[in-house]
Amino acid sequence: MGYETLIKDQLNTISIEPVAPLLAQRKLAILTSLVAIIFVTLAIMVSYSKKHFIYKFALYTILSMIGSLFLAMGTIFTSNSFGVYI
Amino acid sequence: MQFVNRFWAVFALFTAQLVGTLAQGITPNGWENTQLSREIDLQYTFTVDTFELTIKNIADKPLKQYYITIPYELMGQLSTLTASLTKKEDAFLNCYLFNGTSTLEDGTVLGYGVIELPSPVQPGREIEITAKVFYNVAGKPYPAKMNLGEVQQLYFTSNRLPMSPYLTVESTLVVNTRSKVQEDNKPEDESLQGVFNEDTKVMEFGPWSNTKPNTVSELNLIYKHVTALKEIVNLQRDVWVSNWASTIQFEEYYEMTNKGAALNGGFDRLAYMKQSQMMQLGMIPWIQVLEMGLPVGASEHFCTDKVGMVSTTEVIEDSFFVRPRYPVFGGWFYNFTIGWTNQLSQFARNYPNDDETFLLAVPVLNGPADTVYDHAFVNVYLPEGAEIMEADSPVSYKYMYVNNEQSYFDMNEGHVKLTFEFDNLFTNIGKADLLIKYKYSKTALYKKPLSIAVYFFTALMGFFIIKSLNFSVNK
Repeated sequence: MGYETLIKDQLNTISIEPVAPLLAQRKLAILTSLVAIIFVTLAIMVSYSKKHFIYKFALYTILSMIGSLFLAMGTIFTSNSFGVYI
Repeated sequence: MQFVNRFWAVFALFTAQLVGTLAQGITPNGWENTQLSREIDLQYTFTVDTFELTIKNIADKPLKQYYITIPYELMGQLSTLTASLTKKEDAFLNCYLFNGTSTLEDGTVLGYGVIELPSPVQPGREIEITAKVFYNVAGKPYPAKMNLGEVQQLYFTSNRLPMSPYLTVESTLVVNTRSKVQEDNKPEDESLQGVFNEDTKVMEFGPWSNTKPNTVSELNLIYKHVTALKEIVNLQRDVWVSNWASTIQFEEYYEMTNKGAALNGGFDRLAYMKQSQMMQLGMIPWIQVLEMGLPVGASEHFCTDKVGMVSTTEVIEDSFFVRPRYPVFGGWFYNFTIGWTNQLSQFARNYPNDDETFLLAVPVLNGPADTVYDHAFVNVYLPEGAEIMEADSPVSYKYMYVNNEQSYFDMNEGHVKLTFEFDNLFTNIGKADLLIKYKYSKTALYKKPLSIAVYFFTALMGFFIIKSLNFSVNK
């Protein structure tokens, strides 16, 4: 009987910990967005520099990857801050 | 309703299943009802038929199944059948509907519920059980139309004598309506007539002796029911789980009507305003205000309808009061949507030593009190990448199925949607929880920002490539 098993399981479960507290996600959104802007700006500056293409490409890729990650985290935190829970 | 609180604490262990496995046309025998006390509770929008039975095995072999008669015309409105040992109220018994009917000589068609006893009862031995049958229906308005200010009456029809497939040695019947009751089409035999007890406000019948099996004897009652008969024709209940935000969002769409007496003639505002005192007491047959019992700590409440946002709402502690745009009189409809948010930790817990496996407990319903539901869909949306390991309901459901649905920032297959489809629920039954065991791994959790990051990265690399291309034309 599945329900009986789940009821018994319920007695032995523990509280969950949030990934990031909801009230703190607004600040996290601002922080991650700022960091993302910094990395993306650096990446764009590298793309406009006169360095060798391979060097520019490698550095730009690394900066873009880090910037994208922070942009993605910023998107999630910003969305949660506005009540659109991801 | 103390019996409901105790009832739901352990009812989940014994689900009433709507599947029978026996052959059709069976005529149950082998038992004798030594004592049968029946109580019909008509106080609410739903009907509760309670049987306190002392049954004796008169067969020559041990028996484990007891059949309880359910009128065929009410099978479509049957909500729940439960039974327990009378001396151990928490010892619930397994019950299910028999997959077949019997037809009496006069053409009456009978259905049956089957109660499985915990162990076979030996020949000559007795056992005491209490069975409750909940129907998603109350009396019908009588008359069907009335003027504002008149008192609403309902007409209820049932069987007077015990409708059991077994001989009943001694039986009584009590009808509880919380108001004065009168019989319609009284039989001439005074022993069959009921007596209204002014002290307890119930109508008492019997006692009767040696009632033959399947004795048909119609009982017609007229009683006052001053409040509205709230009926939710369709409910769409969506529950969105977010592990990133640690929230659980509820959104419910109601298609509601009032099964009570319709207005005689058009709406008269003057007559309506004169009822203000009765409105304050809540003794009115139309729906004026709905009180939604929400989980503790609910926030971000809202209410909308087809026109737009409904501002006539108020939150008082854990109750969300909604005043529809217009009073819902008998036969009128009102469709609306409400929603709120709670902390996920109130409903989801982890298994010990496994922070990737969760057990989610979500109430079946959170609607207004004293309400019946014809059809209800409860959709639980788990985060993208979650895997459902096990799920079950304390209440028998029509269907349960899993599919996917895209939502905000779903970059892959979408949220996992688990749907329970129910028929014939009523408010009290919704206090029990749906239980869902699911796995949401760290990989699935971090796949969300990675999926979003891929799009940003693609855009940035695209910028670099376009920036690197030289479209100038040089001589």
